[in-house]
Amino acid sequence: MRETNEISSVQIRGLIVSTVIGVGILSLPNKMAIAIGNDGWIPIILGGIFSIINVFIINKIFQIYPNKDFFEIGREALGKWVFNFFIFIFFIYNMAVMASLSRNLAELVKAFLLETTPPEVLIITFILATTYIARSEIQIIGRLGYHIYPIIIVSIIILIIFSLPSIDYTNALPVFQFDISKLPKAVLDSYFSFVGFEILLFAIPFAEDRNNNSKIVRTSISAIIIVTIIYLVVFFLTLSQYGLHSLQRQAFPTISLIKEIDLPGFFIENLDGVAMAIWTLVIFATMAPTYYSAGKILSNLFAVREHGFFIIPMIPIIYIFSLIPQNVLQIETILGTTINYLGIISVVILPTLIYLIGLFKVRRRADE
Amino acid sequence: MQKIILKDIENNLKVIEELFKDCYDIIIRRIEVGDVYRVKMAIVYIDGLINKDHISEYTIGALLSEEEVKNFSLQGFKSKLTDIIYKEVLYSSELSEEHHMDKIIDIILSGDTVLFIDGMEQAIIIGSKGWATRGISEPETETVVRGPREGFTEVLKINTTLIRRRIRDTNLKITMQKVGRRSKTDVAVIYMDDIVDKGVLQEVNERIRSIDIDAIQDSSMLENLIEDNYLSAFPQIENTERPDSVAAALCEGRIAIIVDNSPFALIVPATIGTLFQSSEDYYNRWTESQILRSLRLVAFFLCVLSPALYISIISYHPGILPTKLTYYLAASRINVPFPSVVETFLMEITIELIRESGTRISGPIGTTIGIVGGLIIGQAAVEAGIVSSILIIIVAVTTISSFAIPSYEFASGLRVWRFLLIIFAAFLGLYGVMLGLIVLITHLIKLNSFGVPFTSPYSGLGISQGELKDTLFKSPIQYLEERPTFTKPRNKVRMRRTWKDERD
Repeated sequence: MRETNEISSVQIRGLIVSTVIGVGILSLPNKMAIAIGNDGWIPIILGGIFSIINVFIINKIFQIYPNKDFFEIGREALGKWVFNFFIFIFFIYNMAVMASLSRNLAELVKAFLLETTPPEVLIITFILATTYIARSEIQIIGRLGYHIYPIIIVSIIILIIFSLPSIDYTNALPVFQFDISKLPKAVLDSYFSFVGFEILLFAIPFAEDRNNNSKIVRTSISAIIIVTIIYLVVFFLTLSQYGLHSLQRQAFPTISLIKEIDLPGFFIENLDGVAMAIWTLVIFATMAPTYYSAGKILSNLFAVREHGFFIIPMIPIIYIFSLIPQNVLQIETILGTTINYLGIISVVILPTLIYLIGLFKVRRRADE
Repeated sequence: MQKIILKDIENNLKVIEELFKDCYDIIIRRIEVGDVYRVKMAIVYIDGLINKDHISEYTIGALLSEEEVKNFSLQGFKSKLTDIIYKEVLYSSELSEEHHMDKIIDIILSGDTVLFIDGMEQAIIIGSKGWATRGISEPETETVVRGPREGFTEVLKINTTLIRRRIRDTNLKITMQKVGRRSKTDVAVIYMDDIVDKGVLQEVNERIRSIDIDAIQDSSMLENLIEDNYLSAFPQIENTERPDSVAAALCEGRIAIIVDNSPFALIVPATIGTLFQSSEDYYNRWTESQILRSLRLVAFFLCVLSPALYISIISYHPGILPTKLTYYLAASRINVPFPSVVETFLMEITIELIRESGTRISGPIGTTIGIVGGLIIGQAAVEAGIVSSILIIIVAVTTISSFAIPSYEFASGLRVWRFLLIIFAAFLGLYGVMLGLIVLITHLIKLNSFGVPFTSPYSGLGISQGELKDTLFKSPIQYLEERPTFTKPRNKVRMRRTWKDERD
């Protein structure tokens, strides 16, 4: 059979948007409100800019080493052992992300949909549902991203339309009142709502336009811009609805915002249950690429061609990881912190290192 | 068995008689021709497969009455006899020569007549296929209010003619293959030479060639044998009874496969987008077609989701609905002794029973079954209090919407998934429905149809070229200037707008 193992530019955009948007869209306004107050939009924009730089670097790597996949490039640039160490951290990072995703989902589903079901059941069923897609190749993951992308966009538009009437814009004021020393922490917080774009490391070698690098750069940057706009909109809406003090006390203000929506004469009264259901799909679209990358990394570490082989054995590991936190707060303190540290190593440092070494090698080659 | 035919006619006939031993439908008619020198000839055919008038009048009659044959002498006849018979005697329009015995056997079995002549190393094949067939009638599964009313029949040749009549272009290619060791069924692969993607064409031919089976009875068997994922509940190949649909598909760069003895033509590649198209969409005004397209999409979701949503709302999340509606639902279920899952399963199984028995017995009894099943059981079940009246509405809507999807096979695939989703909903409520949907979405996007993603054009390929114009939307025909891109047509432009329409 002819395998068209390719993913188009439109798919890449959808893939990034649906991978990046996950838990962050629910918790980011609260985090920003705590970290910096009314001016949360500044770290969101800065986080977006840093992500764009990061995405740009990832794209550049594949320009320096054309026609190679991420693992070949990494081996060539860093040497086998250093690179293996890095991707092992990358793997742990992916596992932690997945554990945090499934635990967050389980806790929220428990809170809003199934009060009496034990979270263990919710976690394991979700992981099992995801294994089916994680076994497939990147073009399927790309198609998935593209299917979830319109759902996200439409949901956000519906949210804007129905919450506009009840919000109070004055709550967003005053602006530019923040303490500059708090900014770095806030930017870091917002930046971690943008991670997920590292799926580009696995997607670009299969892109339809891989020979036309500027096109991929453009689509991936536009995807990050879309995400930034969505985050800004959600932050603005929740801030205007609740005001700063109320916002600081709500872990997931976006859901509360949805709860406020009143649809007179409509078939559905409480939208939060429906929103949770749709959000399950969104989390699935974040989980699937992460699962896929974890499988790819393992298959590469063990030099096996098929990554589908490793998907099933990963289930218990994710499950155990996700049960480490004792309560909702610890998801953030234990898993969240782990993700942040490992994420900096695998998403920021690893690509930048490869890029710098590649740049250096290109220079030297040019000198010779 | 001898490989080629021998000069001695009796040996040849002995071989044939041996092979066709106990076949009562084989006819071997021996004649002797010539006044001076009598030549033995034999006509072999299968009774019922040939046009008897044609053979008796234009073959036997011609041979016995032709003056030149009667009069030939010993001199030089060896070189001339076949020539004379071939060129001057036989009135048939289809004639050929053959000297391989196994091919001759195949030819006899396929309904042509073979003429053996004593002393000749070739047999003459007379095209005489003609058997009792059903006439061209209106397709039963795809009726239209407006549009052509011709449907395919069981005879391959009539079917290819129906297509040829619609596309009078030398680029319309019809290539033949035989499938089945025993049935030796003719399979025609039809395509437009200058539009079709050669890769897909090669793939189709290879897959058909690789089939090794004793017999195929219908195109659906061929479909199962060549599709990408045979385990899936969903068809990855489209089928139609309408020659106009096939002609339209060919002009889009797709490939049609027609199997002898089957009135259903196969079209590859098929995607969700094409399975939701009906040929009438193109004959109605675009506004109506647009509404119908959207309605089918709604039907798709109703068909898979509604019973599962009912269960999850009743059993897990009554709070999602407005308070009044919740009270009403609770009141309608007040007498129902079962949990909602059992209730739903009871009703779904009843509906499937009615449906199944209705298709087994058609005609007036079928209608009775419909009335008894649908009306009386439904009414009685509600009155007896074993199901709620809301559930009857939901099950009815689900069943009706499954018929609103143009592809019957696709709708039946959804039916299977509906039961899975019901089970998911019973265990985990709305979250379970979502998990079920995740698995369903995964399954759908993993499907391919001959290298084309099954979920095209919603898969993110070819969107920029305006693929949605003829799938999610139905634009007026003036806007469909290019062929759909999922078939990778080599000739992209379908129409040029020469006549400027006046919009105001």
